[in-house]
Amino acid sequence: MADPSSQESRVSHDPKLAGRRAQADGGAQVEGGQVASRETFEGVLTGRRLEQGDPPWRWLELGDLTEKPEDFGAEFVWVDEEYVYLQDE
Amino acid sequence: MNGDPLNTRLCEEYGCEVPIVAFAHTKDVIAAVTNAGGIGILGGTGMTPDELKSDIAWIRDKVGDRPFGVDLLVPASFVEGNQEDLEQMITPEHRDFVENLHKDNNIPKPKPIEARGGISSPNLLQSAREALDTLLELRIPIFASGLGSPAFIIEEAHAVGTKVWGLVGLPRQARRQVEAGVDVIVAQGYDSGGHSGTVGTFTLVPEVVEMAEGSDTLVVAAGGVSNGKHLAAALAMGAAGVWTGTIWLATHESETQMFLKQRIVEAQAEDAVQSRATSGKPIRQLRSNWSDAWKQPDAPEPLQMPLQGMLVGEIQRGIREEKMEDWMTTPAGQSVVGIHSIKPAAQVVFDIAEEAQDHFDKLVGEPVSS
Repeated sequence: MADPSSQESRVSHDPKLAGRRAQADGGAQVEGGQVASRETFEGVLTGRRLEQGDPPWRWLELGDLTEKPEDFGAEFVWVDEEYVYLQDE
Repeated sequence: MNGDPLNTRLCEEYGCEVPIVAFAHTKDVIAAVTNAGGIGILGGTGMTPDELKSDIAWIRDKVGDRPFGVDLLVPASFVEGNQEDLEQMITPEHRDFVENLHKDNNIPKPKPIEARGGISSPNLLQSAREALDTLLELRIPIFASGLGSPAFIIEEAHAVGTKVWGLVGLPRQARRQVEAGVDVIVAQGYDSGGHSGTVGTFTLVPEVVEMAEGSDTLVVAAGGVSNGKHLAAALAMGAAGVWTGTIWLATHESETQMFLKQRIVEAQAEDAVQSRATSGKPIRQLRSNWSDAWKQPDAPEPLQMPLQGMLVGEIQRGIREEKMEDWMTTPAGQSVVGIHSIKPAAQVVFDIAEEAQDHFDKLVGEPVSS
């Protein structure tokens, strides 16, 4: 089992990403069940990056959401960097 | 392929005898399929590390060195912080509708239960990481990521001999996973059970196969697979095998209740309906009085997640405790149409393989296997 301290989260700011428009494929386990929801988001990256654990599991924060599930109420969402697609590339 | 269309790269690289992967939540199904020559993948989401260890030890004892794995729903997104005052967001109209369901259908109030940690836990990432650490500590042969990208864990997994598989619902997710170096991509079409993507299996699989060409990544087809013709079609599209789920619910070894097994056997494709009535998210499941009730003209639209789950959690428990069969359901894909009887899991493996072989033989007019 990994050292618990190696699972800590660290938040930083990446100015190169801030303000860039992106799409992202998200989703999570549906509460109370053993199935997942698959969700698509589009918005603007805030530049905040979260790294969890070692090896790092990297997340980017997306805001100003112009596409999100109809039942999604939050203003910001953390999305796995692997499934972030920059729209200006 | 060596002349035998069922002896694919999946068989060569994993040591299975037929390219059939079984996803199930019952460890007995996993052992039976693996010992019959396929690859069993245990649905580990919701299990504690101790429960995972116990089930994996049991499976290992039954299958020895044969290939098996565990699937976890690794998250792909999350919202920071806790949502407050959620109860106040449930409208009186919704509360009245559920209360009337109780009264009109004699659905009893359930016994109180102790809450168990779910996805609203602020330690979502840490919980996922702990489950992954458990799998790697046990050097599980295969880890399958049922939702999010497993890219961050590939190197660590390979270092302990664990193969990494990733389920995708969109071609762009597959491209990222090929680039990351996953061992197998499971391309999961729209017709699968639970919550899949929006692209059909016949559209998704060939595109993902093309993406993976020239890499070491294999592609396995999922969504709508329950018989040998489906397996033959998947191999013809370039997949190295099939990932199946619904069909194992109706096996002798499955812990699914007998009446649900019987309903799966009797179901048509259109009985695998998408409904938001249980969680607020569209889940493909067997049609039931529950899904029908939320489609009646007087029914309100289901609430968003997690409100719908909070609204209906109690009545759902009451339905289960009272064993109200017509109101109970299970996630199921459109492949229910190919399930005609309740059989031992090993027999299902043999039947799918035999039918696929027969199908290839018919296509070329003579036996194609050596």
